[in-house]
Amino acid sequence: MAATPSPHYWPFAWRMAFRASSPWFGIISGAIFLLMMIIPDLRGRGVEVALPLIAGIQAALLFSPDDEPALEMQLAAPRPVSYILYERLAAVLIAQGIVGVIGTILISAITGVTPLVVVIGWLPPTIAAVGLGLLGTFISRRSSAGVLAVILVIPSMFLGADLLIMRFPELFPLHFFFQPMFAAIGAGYFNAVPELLYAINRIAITLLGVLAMLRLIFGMRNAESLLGVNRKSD
Amino acid sequence: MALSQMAAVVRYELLMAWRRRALLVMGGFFLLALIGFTAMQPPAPVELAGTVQVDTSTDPPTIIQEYSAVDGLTVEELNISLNLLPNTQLVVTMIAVIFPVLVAITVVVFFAESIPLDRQYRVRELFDSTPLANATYLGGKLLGAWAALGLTLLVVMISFGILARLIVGAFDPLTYLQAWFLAVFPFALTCTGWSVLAASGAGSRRKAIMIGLVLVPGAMILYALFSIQFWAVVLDVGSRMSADEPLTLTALFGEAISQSAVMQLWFLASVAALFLIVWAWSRVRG
Repeated sequence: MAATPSPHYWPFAWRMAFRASSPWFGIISGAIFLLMMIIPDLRGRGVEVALPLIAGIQAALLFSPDDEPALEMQLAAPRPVSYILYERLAAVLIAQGIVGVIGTILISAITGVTPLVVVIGWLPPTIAAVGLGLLGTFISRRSSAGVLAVILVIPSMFLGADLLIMRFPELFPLHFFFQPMFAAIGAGYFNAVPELLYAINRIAITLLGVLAMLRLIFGMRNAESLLGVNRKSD
Repeated sequence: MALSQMAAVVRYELLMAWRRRALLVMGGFFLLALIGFTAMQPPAPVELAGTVQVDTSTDPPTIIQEYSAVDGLTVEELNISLNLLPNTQLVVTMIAVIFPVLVAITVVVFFAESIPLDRQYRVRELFDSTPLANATYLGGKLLGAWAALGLTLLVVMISFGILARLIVGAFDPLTYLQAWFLAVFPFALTCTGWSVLAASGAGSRRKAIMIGLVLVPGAMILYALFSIQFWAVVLDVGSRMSADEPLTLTALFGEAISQSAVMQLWFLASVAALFLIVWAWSRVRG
């Protein structure tokens, strides 16, 4: 039998991807953002509060091997199974990105902060939260574990990481919501310029998220492990 | 008959929770979080100095005996008794006040899928074809989740008790056990009960998790009620402290924990009410 010529690209199923990614999570992000805008102290951080948590939860519900219908058939099809992840992830990024962009414009208009500074505040933790949610679900094969990882790590980081770096300053690159003010305080401790510390933190957080996503993409290439071979499943 | 059926459901619920590694993950997380929070606390108070009797005839001089400021107590014993109150306060705050937040968030998401999974894997149809009453099934699922959580918390309680003794020092074990059994366990059982029952109508794991997420704010409100009551009693007892009525561990925490326990009974009653609603609903739906 002649081999089927494989095309250079595969079709995307956008409608299904949007349906599977529950785009109404974007509305929740928007609602939380608007709620934060009412609180004077959090007005400048509305997107930073809403997006990482909600995007992370949404990402955790994207792809759970145990709950994916007909995974064997999808693995047997010519289109790589990782395309499911790409299209669903894109749907999440579009839904949450719209909220992020609108929020950034509003915050800049109200507080006078440069849009770039606002974006640097919310984009790295959002990428990290998405990576955490995806990986948590993928490794445990259950979306509840990914969701839990996000709802425990993100609020803890937001509420308690300041205390953590006061006690252990060396852990500052892992603070998801590191503020330029903390970089200024840490400059004396580390004998470095605040901008450098802030940049290190933002890059480290973004890298965490990207590495988690890469781990997932490479993990999806292994059909045996994706099907849960040698694992006791539910 | 119904009891043996229920016992079988509980047994298999426990077995499935173990196989899914849910108990290991949850217990490990609870323990790590508790140790992490404890390690982040400021160091224990500086030890008190006592008086010493020194033998100057030797070279170099040696300490023959140490005396404390209180008769009948060695310096070491005095330090332990003086540190007992802050140490117990730290451990109780950790267990009865901070830990329930983690429990509330974790269990409502983790146990929500307990019944919907049967529907997702088409096992529910098999259950429906057996002479198993709805109440027995529902009760078995609820008790199974409670048993799984109870065992996990028990292991965490013992492990953290040992580790906390090493990290913080001596604390009152009775108050520690009271905090676990009268504050943490009932609260955790309430949250789990809500989660298992409220998500019982969901058809898939995904929907169950969504319901669990919706329950998180409810569990936090429950926590807030419990926490406000706890601190109100502690502050009230603290404000009444005088020379005639010295501050003791029993006075400070005993009253707060027992009053919180009464409130927890009402919480558990809400689980019973929810059970009846869900059972009636499942009967109506057929």
